[in-house]
Amino acid sequence: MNLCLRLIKSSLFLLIATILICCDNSKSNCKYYDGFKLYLSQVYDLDISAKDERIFYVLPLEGCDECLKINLNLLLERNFYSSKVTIILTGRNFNDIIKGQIEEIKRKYPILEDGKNLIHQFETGFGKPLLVHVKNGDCLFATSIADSEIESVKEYILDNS
Amino acid sequence: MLIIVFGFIISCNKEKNITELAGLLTAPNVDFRDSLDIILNREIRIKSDSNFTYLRPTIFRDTILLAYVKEKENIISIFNLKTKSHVRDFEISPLIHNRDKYSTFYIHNLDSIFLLTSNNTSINLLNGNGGLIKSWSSFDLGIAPLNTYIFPYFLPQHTIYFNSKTNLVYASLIPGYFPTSSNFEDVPQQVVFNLASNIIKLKYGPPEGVMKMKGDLVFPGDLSFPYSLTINERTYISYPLDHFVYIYNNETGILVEKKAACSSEIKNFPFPLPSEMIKDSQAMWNFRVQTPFYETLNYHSKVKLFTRAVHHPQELKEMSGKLNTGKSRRTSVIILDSTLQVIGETVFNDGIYQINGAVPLSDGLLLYSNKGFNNNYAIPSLKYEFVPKID
Repeated sequence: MNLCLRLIKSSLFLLIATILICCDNSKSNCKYYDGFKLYLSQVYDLDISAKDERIFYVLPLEGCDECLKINLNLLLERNFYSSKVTIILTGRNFNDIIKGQIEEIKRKYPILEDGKNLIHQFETGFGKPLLVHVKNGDCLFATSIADSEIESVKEYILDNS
Repeated sequence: MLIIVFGFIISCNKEKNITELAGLLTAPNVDFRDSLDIILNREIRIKSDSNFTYLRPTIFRDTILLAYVKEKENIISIFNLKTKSHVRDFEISPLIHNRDKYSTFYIHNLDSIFLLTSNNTSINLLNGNGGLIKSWSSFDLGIAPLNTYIFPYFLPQHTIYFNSKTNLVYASLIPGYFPTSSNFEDVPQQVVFNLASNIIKLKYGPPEGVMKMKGDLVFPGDLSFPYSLTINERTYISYPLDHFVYIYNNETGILVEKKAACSSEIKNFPFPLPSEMIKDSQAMWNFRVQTPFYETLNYHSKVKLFTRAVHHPQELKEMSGKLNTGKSRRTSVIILDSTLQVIGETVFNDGIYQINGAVPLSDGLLLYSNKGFNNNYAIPSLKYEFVPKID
């Protein structure tokens, strides 16, 4: 009887562990995807499930200047381009030095503008620049882009273009 | 064997710190003499054609208010609160305007205005026309490399104090590797330096209380810096998530005493987060949205009272699914006598007391508010004063 109970307990533990692992979407870092979808639908009237595939790249214009420059440099690299990338510019730019680069970004990629920083009203995982890859309404991958991770972000975008 | 013993000692110390931390996050019982209230005295409306933005209005001698014009970016307007009129504008030096985002001012007099900006390693002194007299960086103070220590003045609720008789500036200077460091709790966070010689006279005030005991655990950045208030030879250090105020002699750097200066309504602060959570900016922000926290300690010289506001906890999200903006947040303002004994508490409902939206006056508080005003007024403010509580 005791052995039977122990077996049931172990199986139950394994089952719960398996469910937890399967349901844990933090591996793809999409845990704030619901908030991101709400942001897109409420601010841009964009129904993400209706779109095929997009890589949203959220750039905070009022964040730290150096971090912004690193991201702008990547997006403007001559050999770097993906038709799946849509840029979301949040806040307003006060820095004359990068004004030209922002204009260039606007010519190179589709742009969504959030001058009033409405993104902060939603639970999107936004703090640093943010990348969210969606396909058929599902989140495939999302990451907050630390300066040190810019190369891996570049690789991710190129690999998925 | 030695390693095991050493490991055991470390583990016991951590356990002890966690227990002590839990105790510090709970408000102590204090004698509460509820004898004063804060009531609305009058509304102050100053008409203007421009739209203003300021994170925290700056007031000099209860009369002069500096506000920052958004459209023109580098224009600062001066208003007289008593005559309710616009006095003049001045333009901030392009040397700063093209480099930094403005945060707040410390007005010594109208021809010596310290401008504190997003540049967390410098303090700037402007003349009355906005021209740059001088900038000081932590590098000038002999702290190298730059960014080893930072000034917290990119957050507009923090400010310096300048004593013109001694030429000394009293400022917070925080280790740049904040908030995680093994020896962080031993590093002084206050500095007194001579403006003319750039020589640091005194470093003092390592973290105390909750901030000392939290070890490697973290709070959101803006809730982690010490607030500093200097009155003569005393500097009062308080923290957003600590019920106590720590009083130092700023000539010797010695901690003279600590006083519980807490609300009767907010009994517990949440535990800090594990250090790895710092990478999850949303988790940090969610903590920030929900947690109660204290604002700066204010001194009202004419009535010799202190005030300390504490914002109450709130839900993470509104009904719409959006994050809570705090527009209906409840806030208590505790009133303390000159010995920091609590002698009153006034509760503001419906977000009337906005986060960092109040400026201390010598006899009350000025609350910047958009509620109930139309857009024709540039400086819609509510003046509050202290009155005896009637049972």
